[in-house]
Amino acid sequence: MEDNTLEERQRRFEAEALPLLDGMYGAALRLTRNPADAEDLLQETFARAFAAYDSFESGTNLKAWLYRIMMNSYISSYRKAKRSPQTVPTDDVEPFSYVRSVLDDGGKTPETEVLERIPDEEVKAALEELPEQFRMSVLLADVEGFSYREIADITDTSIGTVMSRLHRGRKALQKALWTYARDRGLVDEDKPWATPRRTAGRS
Amino acid sequence: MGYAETDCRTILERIYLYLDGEIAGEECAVIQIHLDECIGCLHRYGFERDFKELVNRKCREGSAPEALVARIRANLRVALGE
Repeated sequence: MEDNTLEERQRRFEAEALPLLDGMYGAALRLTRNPADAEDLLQETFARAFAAYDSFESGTNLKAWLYRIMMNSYISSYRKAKRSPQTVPTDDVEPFSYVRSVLDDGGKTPETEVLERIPDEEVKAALEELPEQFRMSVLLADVEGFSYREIADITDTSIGTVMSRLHRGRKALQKALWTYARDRGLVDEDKPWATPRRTAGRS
Repeated sequence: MGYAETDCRTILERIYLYLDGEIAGEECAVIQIHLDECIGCLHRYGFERDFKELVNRKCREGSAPEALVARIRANLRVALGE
């Protein structure tokens, strides 16, 4: 009888939790910043989750529960091993977009068109360079699509803190990508968000 | 046009909440009306919306490696055997 229960539990876990692994793989990569550690993190996460599966309330948010276990595993196992994450001078982060923009197109903003030219790998790298708490918040909100409440639960903090980290994280990421674009001549230094080949327009 | 600076500031402070689907109802409508009429805030909103979408798209990964899925499945069976 005991065995049947265990098998039942395993079957349910495999059916419900394992399909979430694909999405979590990307998040684990962004957290650990390398594939080997990401795989270790996910193995540990799923082992912990299965061991604690009894305590998971069926019908509640399994995805958020798994991410919370992953964050806790990451913090307890991986972060300690690494050098402490660098901090970017976030007070310095300038919300450039609305300060510098003047264009009034209806479609994509010209800033976004510049950012579109940045390779995916560079965007991922820039996200990985963010200080850990900012990285987690942006990852959970913008890549994984969690709500503020869920992110607060996953990262064990308040909604207000989530909002603040998300704001600062997004601004820091925007600044990093803008710097990347500028350094590669994708933007004009004097007019940061005017594209180099401007169409002769209204004058 | 016709908007006091504080109005725009209030809207911009709420723009992430709006974008992230964290507000609803009347408050949402107030922001929408402002965005319909204020080109500056609309531009800022457009950029933040595009940026969020860009990060989502460019930071996605494919499936987890098959070997990893297999290892995790095997681990579950080991856990079960104990």
